[in-house]
Amino acid sequence: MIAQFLYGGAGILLFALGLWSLLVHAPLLRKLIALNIMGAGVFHVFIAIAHRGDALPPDPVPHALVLTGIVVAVSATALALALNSRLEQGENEPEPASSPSPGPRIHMQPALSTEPSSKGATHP
Amino acid sequence: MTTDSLILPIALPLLGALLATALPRIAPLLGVLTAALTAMSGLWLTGLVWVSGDLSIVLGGWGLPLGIGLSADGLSAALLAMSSLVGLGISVYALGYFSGSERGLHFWPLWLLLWTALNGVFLAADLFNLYVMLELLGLSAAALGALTGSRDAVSANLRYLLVGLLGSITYLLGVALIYTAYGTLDIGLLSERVEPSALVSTSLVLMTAGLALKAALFPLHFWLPPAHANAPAPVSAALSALVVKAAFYLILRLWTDLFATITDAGAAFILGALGAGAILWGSWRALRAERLKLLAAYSTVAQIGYLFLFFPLLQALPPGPARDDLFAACVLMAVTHGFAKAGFFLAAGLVQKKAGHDRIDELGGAAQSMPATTFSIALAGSALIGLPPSGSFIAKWVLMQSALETGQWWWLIVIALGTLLAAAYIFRVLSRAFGQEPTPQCFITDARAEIPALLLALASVALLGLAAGPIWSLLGFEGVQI
Amino acid sequence: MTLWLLLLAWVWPLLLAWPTAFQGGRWQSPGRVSRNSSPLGTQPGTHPSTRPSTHPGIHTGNRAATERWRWTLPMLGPLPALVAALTLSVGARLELPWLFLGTALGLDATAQVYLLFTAILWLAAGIYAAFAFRGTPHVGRFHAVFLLTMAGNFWLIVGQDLFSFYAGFAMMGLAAYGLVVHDGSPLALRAGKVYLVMALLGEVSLFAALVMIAQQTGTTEPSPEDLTQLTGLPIALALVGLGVKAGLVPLHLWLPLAHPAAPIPASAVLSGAMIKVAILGWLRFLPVGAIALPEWGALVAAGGVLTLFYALPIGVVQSDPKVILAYSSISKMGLLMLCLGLVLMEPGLAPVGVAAISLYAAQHGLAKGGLFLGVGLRKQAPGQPGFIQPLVLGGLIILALALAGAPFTSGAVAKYALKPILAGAEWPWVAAAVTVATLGTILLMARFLWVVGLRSKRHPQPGLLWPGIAWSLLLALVILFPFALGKPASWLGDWLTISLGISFAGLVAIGAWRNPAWLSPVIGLIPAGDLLVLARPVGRIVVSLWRQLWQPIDALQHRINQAAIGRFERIFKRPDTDGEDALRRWPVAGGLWIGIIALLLVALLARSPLSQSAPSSESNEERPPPDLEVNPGLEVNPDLEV
Repeated sequence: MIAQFLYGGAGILLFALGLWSLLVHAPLLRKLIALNIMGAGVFHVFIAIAHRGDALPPDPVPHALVLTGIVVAVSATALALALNSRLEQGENEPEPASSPSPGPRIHMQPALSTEPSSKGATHP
Repeated sequence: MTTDSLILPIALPLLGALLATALPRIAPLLGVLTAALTAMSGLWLTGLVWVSGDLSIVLGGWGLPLGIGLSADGLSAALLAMSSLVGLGISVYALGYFSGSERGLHFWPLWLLLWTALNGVFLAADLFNLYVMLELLGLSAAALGALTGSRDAVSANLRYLLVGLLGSITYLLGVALIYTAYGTLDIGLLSERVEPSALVSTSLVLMTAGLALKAALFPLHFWLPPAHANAPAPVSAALSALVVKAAFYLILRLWTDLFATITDAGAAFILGALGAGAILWGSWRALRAERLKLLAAYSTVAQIGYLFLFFPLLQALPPGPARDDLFAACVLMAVTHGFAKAGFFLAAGLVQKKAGHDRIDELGGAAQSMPATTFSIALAGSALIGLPPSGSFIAKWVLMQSALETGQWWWLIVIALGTLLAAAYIFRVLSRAFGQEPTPQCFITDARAEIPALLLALASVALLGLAAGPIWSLLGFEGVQI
Repeated sequence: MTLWLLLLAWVWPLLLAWPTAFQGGRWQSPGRVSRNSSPLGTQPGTHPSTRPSTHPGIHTGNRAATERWRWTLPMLGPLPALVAALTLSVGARLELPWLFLGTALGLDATAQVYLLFTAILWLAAGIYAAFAFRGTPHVGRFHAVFLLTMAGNFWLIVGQDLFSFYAGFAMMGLAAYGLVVHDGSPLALRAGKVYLVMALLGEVSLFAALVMIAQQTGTTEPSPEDLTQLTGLPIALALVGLGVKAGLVPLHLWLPLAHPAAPIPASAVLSGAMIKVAILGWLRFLPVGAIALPEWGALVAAGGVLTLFYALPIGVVQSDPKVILAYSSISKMGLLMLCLGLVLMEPGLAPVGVAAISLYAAQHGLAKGGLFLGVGLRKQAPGQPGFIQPLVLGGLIILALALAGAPFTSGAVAKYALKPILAGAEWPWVAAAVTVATLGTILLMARFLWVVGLRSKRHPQPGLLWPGIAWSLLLALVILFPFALGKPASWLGDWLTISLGISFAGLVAIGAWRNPAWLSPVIGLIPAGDLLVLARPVGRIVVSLWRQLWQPIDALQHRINQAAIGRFERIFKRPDTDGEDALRRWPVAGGLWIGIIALLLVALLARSPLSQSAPSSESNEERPPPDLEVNPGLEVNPDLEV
C-alpha cells in the first residue's frame, strides 16, 4: 500500500516538475523532455493504480493504457523534432518577406540532429 | 448492421489516409473519394441516430472495461454531421487549392488522419480512447498547419503542438484519477457511478483544464491566432471550424453528462466569465487585425467564448424544456460556427490567392473581382455576427432568454457588445467590396473552389437558421419552448 | 391557398436576389451605348467616369440571353406582396412551424395598410432601379441588395411574431447599407459608416428589447394585453432601437447623410418605406391602447415635437434637394411620434389613432417616395419631348402640396384623420404646434421646389420613359387618395393655415427672386448631418479640455508608460507591437492556466462537502438565482493565484 502511494506520489511529483520545466525553460529540447517527464509521471500514476493488493494480479487495463500512451508520446516527440528541424533549415535559408503577423515567441535551440520524417511521425 | 456503421466514419478516412500515403500519385483522387464516402457514412450514421436513437458498439470482442467502445447519441451525431459536411466541402476545395502543388501530397494523408481522429473523438465511448483520438487530432492538426513550411507557420504550429501535448497529458492525468476512483473509463458506466468527492472534482478540473487549452478558451487562446492564420486555407478552415470543436465537445460532454452531478454554479461561472473575456478580447483583436485570416482566427476565439457562456446557464436551469432548449441552442451555435467559419476561411483563402496577400485595407480590388467569394464572406459573416436567419441568431436568442430567466443579466451586456464588435469587424471587411473597380463577367470565377465556400456559408445562414428544428429532434428534445 | 402569398411576399424577392447577383456588370443594352451622366445619384463631378468600355461582342449568345431578362427582376420582386395586400383580408394567417423555431405570418389592419403602400412604393422604385441601372457597373450587386432589402421590409410587415419582425428588420437594415454605399465614393462610404454604426446600435437594442419582451410576456406573439406587463427597460430599448430607424432626434444623424448618398430609387424606399417600419414596430411592441403609459407617452410625444421642430429649420437652409427631403422626412416622423405618444397617454384614442397613424404613414410614404423619384427625373434626356420636364415639375409641385397637406390633396385627408388624436390630447398647445409645423413644412417644400425647379440640377438622371410612367401612376395614386379614402369634409383640410403658409412662402420666393443675395448667408449655414458635423469640433474641445485638466496626471502616466516601455524593451529588446506578446510567453500563459485550474478546483471543492450533506444534487441546481451572485467574488485575477 505504501509502495503504491509512493509510486503514485512520485508520478504526481514528476508531473509537477515537468510542468515547471515546460513553462520556465525556453529551449525546445528542454520543453520536449519536460513533456516526456510529465508523461512519465502520468504513467507512474497508472502503474500505481494497477496494484490491486498483494493477493490479486495487477489490473491489466492501466498497463495497456501506459503502453499506448508511450507510443503516442514517442510519435508526438518525433513530430516536434521534425518541425524543429524544418525550422532550422528555414533559418539557414534567406527568409522570405513575412507579413506583419504576430511573431512567434518560442526560443528555439538549433542544436538537434535527429531528423525523423514527418510522415512517420504522425502514424502512431 | 446498424451499429456496425459506427465504425465507418473512423475506419474509412483511416483507410484512405493509409492508401494516400502508399499511393501518393493518386492521393488527391483517393482523398476526395474517401471524403465523399466518409461524409456519406457520417450522414448515414446521423440519420440512424435520428431514426433509432442512441447507438453503441464494442469492438474486438472484448468486454466493456477493456474493449474499444463506440457510441453515438444526438450530440455526437449533430457534430458528426457537421464534420461530414464541412469536411467534404474542405476536401473539394482542397482539390482545387492544392492542385499541381507538391504540398497536396502531404495534405491528403494528414487531412484524412485528422478527420479520423475528429470522428473518433465524437464517437469514442471511453475516456482513454478519447485521449488517443485527441492526441492524434493534435498531431495531425499541427503537422497540417505547418504545411506551408514558412517560418511563421512552422513555429506557430510547433507551439500549437506543445500546447496540445500539455493539454492532453493533463487530460490523461485526470483520466488516471477517475480510473483510481471507479476502475472504469466507459462514459456511460461512469456517469451512473460518479459521486462528489475531492478526487473526482480534481479529475474533472484536470480534464477541463487540458481541454480548455486545446479549445483555446481565453486567455489560453494564445497559440490559436498565429497557428490558424498561417496555415493553408483549407487547413485553417478545418482547424478553426472542426478541431477546436472537438475539445469543446468533450468539455460539454464532461460537464453536462459525465460529471453532471458534481459540477457547480461557481465553477460554471468561471467558465462563463472566461467565455465572456474571450468574446470581448477576441472580437476586439479581430477588429484590430490587419490581415483577413488573422481576423478570422480571432473571431474563432470570440465564438468559442460564446459556447462557454452556455455553461453557467445550463448549470442554473433545472432539467426541463428550458434547459433542453438551451442545450440544443449550444449545439446549434457550435455547428453554425463550424459551417460559417469554414466558409469564411475558404473564401479568405481565395481572396489571399487572388490578391497575393490578405491585408484587409488593400483588398478592395480582389474583393470586387470575386463576387461569389465576397458574397460567401458576407453570408458567413452574418452568421458570425448572429444575424437572422442564421443558426447563431436563434442560439443567441435562446441564450439571452435563458440569461434573463436565470437572472444572470450581465451576460446580455457581453453578448450585445460582442455582437456589435462582430458586426464592426465583418463590415470592415465588407466595406472593401464596395467601390468602382471593374467587375468580372460572371458571379463565379473559380467554381471548384468558390462553390464549397459558398455552400458552407449558405448552410450556416439558411439551412441551420431557417430549419433549426432538426437539431432539436436529433437531440431528442421536444419542439422549442420560447 | 392564397395564404401562401404571405410567404411568397418576402421569399420571392429573396429568391430573385440570387439570379440578380449573378448578373454580369458590364452588359449594356444596344442603343444605350453612350451616357454621360451618372445614374448613381451623386453630384456629377464627385464621380469620375467609371463607365467601362463595352464590347458587346465578347458575350456568348447564351449569356446575353439571360442578361436580357435579369435586369427586370427588381420590378418583379414586389408583385406577390402587392397581390397579397390587395387580395388577402385582414386576419389572414399562415402558420409555419418549421421555419426558425416556429413562426406565423399574417395581416392585421395596420399590416395591410403598410404592406399595400410599401409594395406600391417598392414597385415604383423597382421599375426605376431596373431601368436606370440596366447595364451599369455593379448592377448585379445593386439589384441583389435592393431585393434583399425589399424582402426584409415585406418580411417584417407580414411576420406576426418577434422573430420575423427582427429577422426582416435586420435584413432590411443591413442590406440597405449596400444601397447607401453602392456608389463607392468617399461621401457614400462615410454616409455608409454612419448609417451602419447607428443601424447596428439600433438593431442590438431592438434585439435586446425583443428578447426581454418574449421573456416577460412569455410569448413570441404578444398582444397589447400581454404587453401591459412590460417593465421600463424593454420599452426604453425598443424606443431607442426603432428610434434610430425613425430618425428620432438625436438618433437621426444617419438620415440626412444616407439619403443624398444613396441612389435615387434607394432613397425613395429608404424614406418612403423603411423609416416607417419604426412606427409599425412601436404599434406592435408597445402596449398601445391596452394601458395608459403617461410617462412613456409624454416622452415619445416630447421626442416627436423635438424631432418635428428640429428638422424643419435645418432643412430649409439646405441646398441639396435630397437633403431637404430627408429633413422633411425626419420632421414628418416627428409628427407621427407625437401622435403615437398622445395615443400612449390616452388609450381611448387607440382605435381611431392607430388607423390614422398608419394612414398618415402611408400617405407620407407614397408622397415622399414620389418626390425622391421625381428628383431623379429632372433631367432632359436627348430626344425627349420638350413638354416632359414641365410635367415632371408640375408633378413635383402636386406632390409637395400633398406633403404639406394642401386642400384637395391626400395630405389634407391624412391630416384630417390625425385630428381626433390632436384634439383629444391633454395638452392644448399641441394643435398650435402642429399648425406651426404645417407652416414650416410649406416653407420647406417651397425651398425644395425652388432648388429642384429653378436653381441646381443635382442628382440628375436621364429621362427614362418607363420609370416616368411608373412615377406618374404613383402620382395618380397620391392625387386620387383623398377621393378614394376620405370624406368630403376632409378634403379641405386646414386651408387657412395652408394658404397663409403658401402666401408667406410666395413672398419669400419673390424676395429671393428679386434679390438673390439676401438669403444667401443663411443657406448652407448648417451642413447635412448637423450634429455629426458639430461633433468633431466639440470632440476636439472636450479632448483638449480633458488634456488641460489632467495634464499633471497625464504627464505622470506618460512617465510611467515610458519607464515601463523602456524596461520592457531593455529586457526583451523588442517593442510590444502585438498586445498578445505577453500572453504568448510560456510562463505567463502557464501561470494563467494554473490560476484557472486553481480557481476551478476551489469552486468545485468548496462545494463538495455541501452536497455530501445534502444528498440530492437537484436541490443545489434549484437554488434561486440570487445565490449565483455570490460567485463573482471568485472572479479574481488569475495572476494573483500563481
